[in-house]
Amino acid sequence: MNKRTFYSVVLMQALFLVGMILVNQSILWCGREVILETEPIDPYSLFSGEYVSLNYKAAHIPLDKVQHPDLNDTNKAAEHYVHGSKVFVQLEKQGDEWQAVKISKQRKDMGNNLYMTARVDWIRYWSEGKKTEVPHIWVHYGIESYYTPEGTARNYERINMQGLKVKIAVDSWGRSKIIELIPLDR
Amino acid sequence: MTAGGINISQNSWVRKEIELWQSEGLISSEQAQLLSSRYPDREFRTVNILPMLGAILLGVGIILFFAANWPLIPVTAKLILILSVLFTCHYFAYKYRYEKDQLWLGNSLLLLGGILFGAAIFLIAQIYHINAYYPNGILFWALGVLLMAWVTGERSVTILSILLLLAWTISDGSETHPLIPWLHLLIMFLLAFPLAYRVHSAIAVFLCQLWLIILLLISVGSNYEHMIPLIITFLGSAFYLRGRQGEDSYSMLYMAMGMIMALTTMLIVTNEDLFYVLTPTIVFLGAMLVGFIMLLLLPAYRHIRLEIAAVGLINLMYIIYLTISVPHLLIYFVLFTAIIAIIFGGAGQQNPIMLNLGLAFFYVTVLRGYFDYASRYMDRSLFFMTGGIILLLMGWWLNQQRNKIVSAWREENE
Repeated sequence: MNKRTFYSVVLMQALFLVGMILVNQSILWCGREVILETEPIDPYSLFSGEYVSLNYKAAHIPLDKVQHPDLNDTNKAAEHYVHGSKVFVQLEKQGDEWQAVKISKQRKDMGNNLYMTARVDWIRYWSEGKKTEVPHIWVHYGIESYYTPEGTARNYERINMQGLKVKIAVDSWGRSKIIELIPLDR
Repeated sequence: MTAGGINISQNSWVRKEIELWQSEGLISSEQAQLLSSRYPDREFRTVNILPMLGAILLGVGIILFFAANWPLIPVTAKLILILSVLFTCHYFAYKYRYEKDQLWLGNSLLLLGGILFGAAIFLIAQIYHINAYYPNGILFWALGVLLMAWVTGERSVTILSILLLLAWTISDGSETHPLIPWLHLLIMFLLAFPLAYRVHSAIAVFLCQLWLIILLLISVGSNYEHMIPLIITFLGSAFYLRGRQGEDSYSMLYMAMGMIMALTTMLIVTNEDLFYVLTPTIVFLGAMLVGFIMLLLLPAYRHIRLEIAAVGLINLMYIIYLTISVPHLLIYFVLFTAIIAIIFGGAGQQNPIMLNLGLAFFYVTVLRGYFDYASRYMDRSLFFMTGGIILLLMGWWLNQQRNKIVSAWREENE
């Protein structure tokens, strides 16, 4: 067994880990801070431990409330925004929080505005337990898990956390990372 | 067949024979030593397994330690800790495996290193709040371990990497549903299967087979659910023929796996569901026919041409049974034809696995037939009593037949 080959594999593993750290850290270093509203629940991951699962308001978007320049007919939303496809969601500050104002599959539709990349989960004629006339698009941004020390995630669910806010960083490519959960008293 | 390609029981038999030949003066001690060196001691030893179990427990403990996300330890300290433990573990793994020739310790540390690489990935995922649903994390973990397995040729690391790839397929399959999962198939056939063969691990080959079955169940199941029995029967037939074709150390594994897959599917699934997916069934049937014809033409499969044709015919009859409305009895005809062919094949070739599996399936098929038909015409108490008597008598009769065949083999060999 060649010593150099063995250690080059170990080095490749280490480089991968360092790369993973840098890719994620770069969003926190270069990103702009945004605050989103969310509702938490507390599941468990086998490898990374307890976490709070975050359900962002900006993740289920009624298509009549936002611009969708790449979609003319909202009745064809399900065919256009298929499960797993990449979309860009433009955010705009309204009061203290940021809300989704535009959605498109084309990055150029975002212009110079702040936007986040997301993946489509599904299109539904359903919101807050009621049927709707207009389709709602459900997306995920990849920031739906917030890991907490063991035994503490349940606290987020036990108290009434409706209106919990999350501070995130969004970089110029639309990538996002959680910075912190904002307690209710702040 | 290579000298090292025999299994543990064959290996110990050869070593005992060499000792006997030497004691009888048939071979000299130098010749005995030379022959023994061709069949190194590969016996299963608990002392070799215990350090591996220790490494697994320690690795799981470390994963859980970091998963607990202790707030007292700063993030940077956690990262430095996991990376330094990863390096130290690999440093000592190399030292003990290659420099100090303490294989058991080196291999255990190598396995621990593989688990630690995963712990590091998920620690970083935790620090940066990467989504808990993270099949890519398992894939990266598996690929890192797979690379190490290729470089070192260590079996336990190979098994860990294939188990991780299996976990990735299951995790990924719950989210994405492509009909042909290219990436999974490419990794499986270009990296995992060749590695399992390279390290001579029957467990690794078995896990690859299992991975292929689960991958097909997920991809076909999420697109054409009705075609699952057809696919599994066909894959089982392919495994069986692969096992019958060669004399290598995995032929038994392929043959047994193939028989179990195909016969169990035919026993369990007897609904005429393929009618609902007629077009894909016809496409698959065409591909299947091409496959069987190609096998018939391949020189390596020339000696089992008759068997290929028989297996092809059984597949065809099963497809007809699943597609159009034919009498229910046809499935029993198909099953008994296949099972009797296997029993005769096993008896003729002195193949205990074929014989035992054939007899076991014969028993289960009779039982199924009894439940299918007798329950319609008999009183409940009489049904169970007769069933019990049939089972007892048939068990006794099959055992008698098996003993007769096995003693005939012994006489022939003596």
